[in-house]
Amino acid sequence: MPDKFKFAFMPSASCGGCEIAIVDIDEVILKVAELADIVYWPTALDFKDHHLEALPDGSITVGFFNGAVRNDHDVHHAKLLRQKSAFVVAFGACAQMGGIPSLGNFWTTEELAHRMYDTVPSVNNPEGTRPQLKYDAPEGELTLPRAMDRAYALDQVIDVDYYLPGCPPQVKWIVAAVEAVASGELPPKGTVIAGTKAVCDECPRERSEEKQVTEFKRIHLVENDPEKCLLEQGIMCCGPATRDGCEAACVTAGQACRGCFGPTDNVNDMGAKLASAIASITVADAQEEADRILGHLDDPAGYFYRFGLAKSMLGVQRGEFKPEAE
Amino acid sequence: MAEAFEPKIVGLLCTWCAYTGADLAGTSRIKYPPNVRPIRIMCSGRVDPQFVLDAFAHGADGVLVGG
Amino acid sequence: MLKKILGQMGLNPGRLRLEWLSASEAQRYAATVAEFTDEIRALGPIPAGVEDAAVAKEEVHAG
Repeated sequence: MPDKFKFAFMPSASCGGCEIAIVDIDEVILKVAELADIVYWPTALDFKDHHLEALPDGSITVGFFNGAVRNDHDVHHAKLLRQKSAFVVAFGACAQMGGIPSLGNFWTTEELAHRMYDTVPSVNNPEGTRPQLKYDAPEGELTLPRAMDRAYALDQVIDVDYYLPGCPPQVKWIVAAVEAVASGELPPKGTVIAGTKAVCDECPRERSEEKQVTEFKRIHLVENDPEKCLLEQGIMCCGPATRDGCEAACVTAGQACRGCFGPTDNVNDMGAKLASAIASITVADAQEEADRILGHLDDPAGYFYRFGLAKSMLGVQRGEFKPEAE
Repeated sequence: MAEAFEPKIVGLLCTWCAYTGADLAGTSRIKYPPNVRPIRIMCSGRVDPQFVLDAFAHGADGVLVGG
Repeated sequence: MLKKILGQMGLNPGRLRLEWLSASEAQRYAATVAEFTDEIRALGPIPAGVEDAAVAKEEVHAG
């Protein structure tokens, strides 16, 4: 047995849920501790950038990166982790495909800042003050990272070896990843460590295979039949395009699938695939009828790309057209 | 910059309907703009929305689905 | 539905058009193509998405 493995956990534009998922593996963490030294984990222990910079290049066995890449400091972190790690794992939906932070890509950074510092109802900022990237404090110059034009998925910035999907990733797949490292039986590069089919394949609800939706409803406004397919009950569910491996956790609990595992291997674009799935279950003979039914879905792009706007085919706001609903 | 903008349009055309129609337009020597790049598909029902987004992602300025 | 998504992504939904044409309608095909080409020409090219300089450099390297 060689020396102990070395793991690093790098947080970025994320909510912290991924870090909690790491702790959530319970007693397995003891096995991880037996197997590996954690050489960098700023969320849990007092690590600074210079600790990571001091390590030899490629000395970390696996670098886990969670969160989207939103500012230039995140880019620095991503590149640094790549340099120091033999393998880099995009940990969680944000690192894998942009996640929730990339929903901001519907707007420009200026529009987001305007919303955040001027027009949010709880903000009182009559002078239009904005955070400054540099500030001369009596103690010395203080700096803030610069927000980039949009949020990126990790593999749009650095080379990524594996992906652990989910919001947050599930314990069993984290354990599977750690075991793969321990046994040395690594899957091919680029593998998404989860299932290979769609959530519908794991879903216990029954499907009738018939077109039957004449109206879409929001899930909290109706009582759904726990035995039947949510989509067929007119409740938007991302199952048909979403990678399985979660044991249909949300759907089993009475909630619709939100697509956090990202698209399956056969799906290139979640939004397009879901638009297609919806079309195949909707009963409409005329365009007007279809428009009426689909009109119930207020924010299809936001729903379909909830976790993956940065990796969608169109990818980014083009600024040519503004929907009226703004 | 002096060059005028010529749109690139991807035409997803059903082999039985629009594609044959386009063929006929050619054999009848009807003049029409050369901007549409036809892609023959076996049926317009085969068109996946992903094709459309893919076309846009690869730089198409417009997409015409002909069934 | 797809048009709505295009709209939300800041693309003009007018860039997508569905037309039912039969095999004998060569005239109509030509007319549709001419009309659609003019419409798209009026819209102009699709604006390129923004790419941050800090990231763009790395993509060349990774590619």
